Amino acid sequence: MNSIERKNKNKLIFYICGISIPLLQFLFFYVFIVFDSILMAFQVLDEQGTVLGFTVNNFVEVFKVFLGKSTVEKDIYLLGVLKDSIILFFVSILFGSTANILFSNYLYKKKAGHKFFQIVLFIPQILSAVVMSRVYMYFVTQGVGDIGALFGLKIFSLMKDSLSKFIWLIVFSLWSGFGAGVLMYTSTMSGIPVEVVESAQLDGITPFKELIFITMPMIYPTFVTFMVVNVASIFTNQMHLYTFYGQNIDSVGGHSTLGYYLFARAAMWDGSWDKYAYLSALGVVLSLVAIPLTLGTKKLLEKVGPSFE
Amino acid sequence: MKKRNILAILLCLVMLFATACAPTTPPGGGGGGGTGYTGNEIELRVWNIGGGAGQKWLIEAKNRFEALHKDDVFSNGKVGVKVYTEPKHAVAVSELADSDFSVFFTEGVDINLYAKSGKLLPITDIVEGVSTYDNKSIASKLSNETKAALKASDGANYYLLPHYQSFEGLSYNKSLFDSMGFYFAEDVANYQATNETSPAYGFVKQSLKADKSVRTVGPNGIRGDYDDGLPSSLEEFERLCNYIKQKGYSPFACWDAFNHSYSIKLVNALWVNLEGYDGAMAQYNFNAEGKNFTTKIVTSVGEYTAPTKGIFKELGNITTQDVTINKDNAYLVYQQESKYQTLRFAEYVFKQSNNNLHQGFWQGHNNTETQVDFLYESAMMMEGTYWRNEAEDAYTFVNYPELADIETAYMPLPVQVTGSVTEGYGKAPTVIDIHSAYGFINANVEEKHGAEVAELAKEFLQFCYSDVELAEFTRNSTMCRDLTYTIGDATDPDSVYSALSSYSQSTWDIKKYGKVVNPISAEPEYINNPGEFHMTDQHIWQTEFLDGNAKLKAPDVAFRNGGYTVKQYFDSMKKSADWWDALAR
Amino acid sequence: MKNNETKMKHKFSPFYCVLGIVIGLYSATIISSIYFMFVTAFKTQPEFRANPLWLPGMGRGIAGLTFNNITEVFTCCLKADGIFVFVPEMIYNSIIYSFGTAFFATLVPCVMAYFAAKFEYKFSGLIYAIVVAVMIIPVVGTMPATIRMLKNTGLYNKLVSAFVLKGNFVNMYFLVFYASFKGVPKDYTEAAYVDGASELRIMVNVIMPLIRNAFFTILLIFFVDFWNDYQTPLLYIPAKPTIARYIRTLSTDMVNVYKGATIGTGSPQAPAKGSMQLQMAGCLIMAVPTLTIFCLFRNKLMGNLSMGGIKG
Repeated sequence: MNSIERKNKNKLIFYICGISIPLLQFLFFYVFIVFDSILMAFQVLDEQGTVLGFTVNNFVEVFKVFLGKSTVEKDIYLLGVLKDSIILFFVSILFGSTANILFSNYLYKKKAGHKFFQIVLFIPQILSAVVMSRVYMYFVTQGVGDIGALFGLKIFSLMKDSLSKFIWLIVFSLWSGFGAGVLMYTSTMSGIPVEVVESAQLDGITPFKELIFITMPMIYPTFVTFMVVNVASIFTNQMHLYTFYGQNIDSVGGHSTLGYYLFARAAMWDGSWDKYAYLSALGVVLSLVAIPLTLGTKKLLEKVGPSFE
Repeated sequence: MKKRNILAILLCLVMLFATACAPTTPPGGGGGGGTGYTGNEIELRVWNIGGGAGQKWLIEAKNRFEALHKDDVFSNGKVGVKVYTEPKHAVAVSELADSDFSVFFTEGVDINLYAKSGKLLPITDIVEGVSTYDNKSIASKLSNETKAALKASDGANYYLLPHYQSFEGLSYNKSLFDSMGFYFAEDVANYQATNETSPAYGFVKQSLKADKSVRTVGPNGIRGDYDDGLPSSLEEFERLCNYIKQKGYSPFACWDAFNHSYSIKLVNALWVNLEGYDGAMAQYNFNAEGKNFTTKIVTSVGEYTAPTKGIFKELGNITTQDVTINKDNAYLVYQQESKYQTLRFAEYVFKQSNNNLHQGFWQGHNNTETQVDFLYESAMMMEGTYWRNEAEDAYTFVNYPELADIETAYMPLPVQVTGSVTEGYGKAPTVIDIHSAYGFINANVEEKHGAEVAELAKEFLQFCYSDVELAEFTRNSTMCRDLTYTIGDATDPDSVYSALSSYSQSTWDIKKYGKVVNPISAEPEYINNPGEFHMTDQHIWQTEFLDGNAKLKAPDVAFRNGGYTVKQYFDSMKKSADWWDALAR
Repeated sequence: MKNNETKMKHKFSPFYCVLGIVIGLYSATIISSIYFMFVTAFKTQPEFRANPLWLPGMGRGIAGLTFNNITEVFTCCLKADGIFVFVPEMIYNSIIYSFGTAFFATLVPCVMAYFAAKFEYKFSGLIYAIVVAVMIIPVVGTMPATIRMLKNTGLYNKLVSAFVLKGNFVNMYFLVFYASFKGVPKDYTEAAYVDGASELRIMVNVIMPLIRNAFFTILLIFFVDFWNDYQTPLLYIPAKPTIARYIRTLSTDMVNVYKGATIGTGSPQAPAKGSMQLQMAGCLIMAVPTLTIFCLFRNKLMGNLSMGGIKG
């Protein structure tokens, strides 16, 4: 008995030692930071970061910025930015997720050229967004003109105004967004029992119906994961705007996303802390919206989703 | 061995080789002991805005300053001076405290924000004191308005001095104009075409294109000078654009590059030229001095559809009224008729259906590529007068040596809407400088570098504003400063003029014969509401939220896809008496 | 049930035909992008203006072909926090940042997953729940607080701060490792106990080697991600720029980029701004390492990595 007790004790000590450092990292660099972020949202800071007092004015400023009536962020209308973030979300769901699933299905079925396409679809994961954005920017502004000239056509830049800019930046997000999604879906699809598929094919199922009635239910948990991540990304997706425009929010024109706004402002580190309290307050407000929305989406999808049985 | 492994190894080798070729330390040991320096000099660090006036003027100025002080001995045993400079971005106030640069030449400066920040060293002594370099004070070269605006932060001290003046607007390809005869002729007998419907009607005959005496007097109404034959009204300007198109050239080159700061140059320049100096300055000083002039304002705009041709033979469907702007009704400046007519012209230039007026506008070329477009195949370019410095920095004339001899000039713009200016009835050009470029000294200089460097900084700034250096500045940079100076010597004040490039001559002509609107003032409404009046924020053309979640800042966005009308834009720009009353004072 | 990957036979299907064309078009755009990057990097400016789309030299002949763009990228430097940083140092920063961060970002969830999977204490269930909860619950806008934390702990502007920040276990790879460890039969552990091995020895010498494929794959994925990441170094380690940040600066606004040859002359100069050739040369330099890794380890990177563990 003594040796068993000693062994269990050693095991416990080893366990505690093993998990302590990662847990400490989590406590300091996640939990503490979340609390500090909430605390900062209520603080008045001077330029050096000294806490001068506590206030709710940062939250008042947040609501003013949403309504376009802030004196601190005069030219920012965050409700419009939120609207654009939601548009991006729906486009990502409608086109991006659909394309991911369709492309993955093509690879899973090992159709013509699947090995080549598998490599190409993974390349956006390998190449930096900086690289892809530079090439893309050339093609949608200047390149279309150069290509049109080959056919005697005069084609002007596709990014004529802020709306067309927004549209083509969404297209970039979709174009450069393949990689991990295709990999995950393809992996999950390869786990579908062959017998189920063969039996359906004997019954004369078409490829499209097979996708809808057999494949989709099988990959539904993975689908739910991606949907939940997409909902959360309403508040974090930068749409690569910083890669394209850096901190020059003016260059973006009339459309941008919440994720870009948050990052661009945080990255504008000019040594003055006073603006960061407002940013933290904005983060708190967005988190209070994002958390129930994300959890609710997950619950809803799990409730209404198909079951394999 | 698999092909992909061979490829991978090749890629690795390329990377390693390239890395091995790259330097790890700069020549001369990194930061000191550079060309001609002993390493024992006292160092003065000068921050110089990249682009703008360029680097050449400062490098030559610092070389002369170093030569003057090469034998000076300082208390720490240092002998001689090394002025260190590099091209930088527009410095923010918050960067100054930690910066180890002492003297700054930068742009985008809100003078009152910077002056009140406590981060700038007062320089009243070197501005008002007599300089040993030219035996006069810098203050004696500043206008009263500029002096008042520069001292407005505390009423007593100078903290900044004007750096370069960049005149917004159009540059024109003089070589192209000369070779194609894009000039208006005074007499019908000298017209290229006599049929009024022909695009060539009104322009000089090809056989007379080099003869300046047959040209119209131009916008300033004076015969025999720099603007003869150029369009004096928007009506003529429209005909010029059509003629240029008919000849197979593109009227405009412009870098849009997804911000409005280039297309707005034409808009700003046209507005001030139509309005005139006093009316344009009223935008910032609200005519506080009570000058006796009237401004035409638009009291109502009716529905109006512009004709496809001859747009500017009419004034649009408006009702106007003459007012005298003062401190009670200054909000009415946003209803100036000059702004309305400018918007009409902007609609004509930027509207989708007219997009073949542009070269480079839609193509996504950046600013220096657009300059190449302009030199190759466009008649006019929307730019500031710093563009040739940018082209030099981008090695444009090295990469394209065939473009080096092309003559260009700043284009004086129309002064009226309809008709043509006759001799004696024109107006001198009015231009606007929105770059807010200023020179100043960092307040931390003594704390960071000692008292001797602080004195050296003041001395260097005073040196840069001496008569000789001001003339050298213009000669080197093609740009001017908002001070009174000549570019020659006492016996012949313009002795260097003929040696200047055509572009430098054109900017000097504007400075000498025209008026430059410097959008600053000493009025409390201006000082205490920088977000409303600071020119580089372009709030003058800002509407309420019309474009998605942003405020429209410039007409090009509004008109490019034809979604907005001039009436909508103009009405949305207006300010109310309540807005004026609510301004901080 | 067989879950092997046998080929499914269908008659000709318009559905897959159309899908194949769409994927083909998409592939063409990706291949064209890589082609454009390669050819433009070796063109002079006049060559690019005359011949933007085809191979170098087809516009202005041999005069249109150059290696100067590549040389210029390597010989320029970035000014970060007042110091001129040259390319070799940026490559060094990138390697330390990418490899070090990837190592800790892989090791920490691996170790935690091991403890959570193999030690059946109640706290292990809590660890799992924490991971799932944190992954689902989005927390937005903590960058200012993170900067404050790093400054207060003296980690700001140090490469090690990235190891600490990214070395957390609350990510999806914890779930991958967790499933892998759960899939390892208890027999291995029990046999090792019988042989008298310590817990540490069991972990390091017995169990970890069994999941080395997953470890290496995730390490590679992280390495590629961090090599391409410019935002984390920009925010938290601005004084130690990486290649990604340099190429991004080169490609967008070239503020703080200087010609290396002019450093130390008393008036350092910036290279010509905004040329597409210079941007593409920079992009090429940045893409070469990740493309190399992709060529060498393609099968591992694209292998079946799911939350059900490694397959095949």
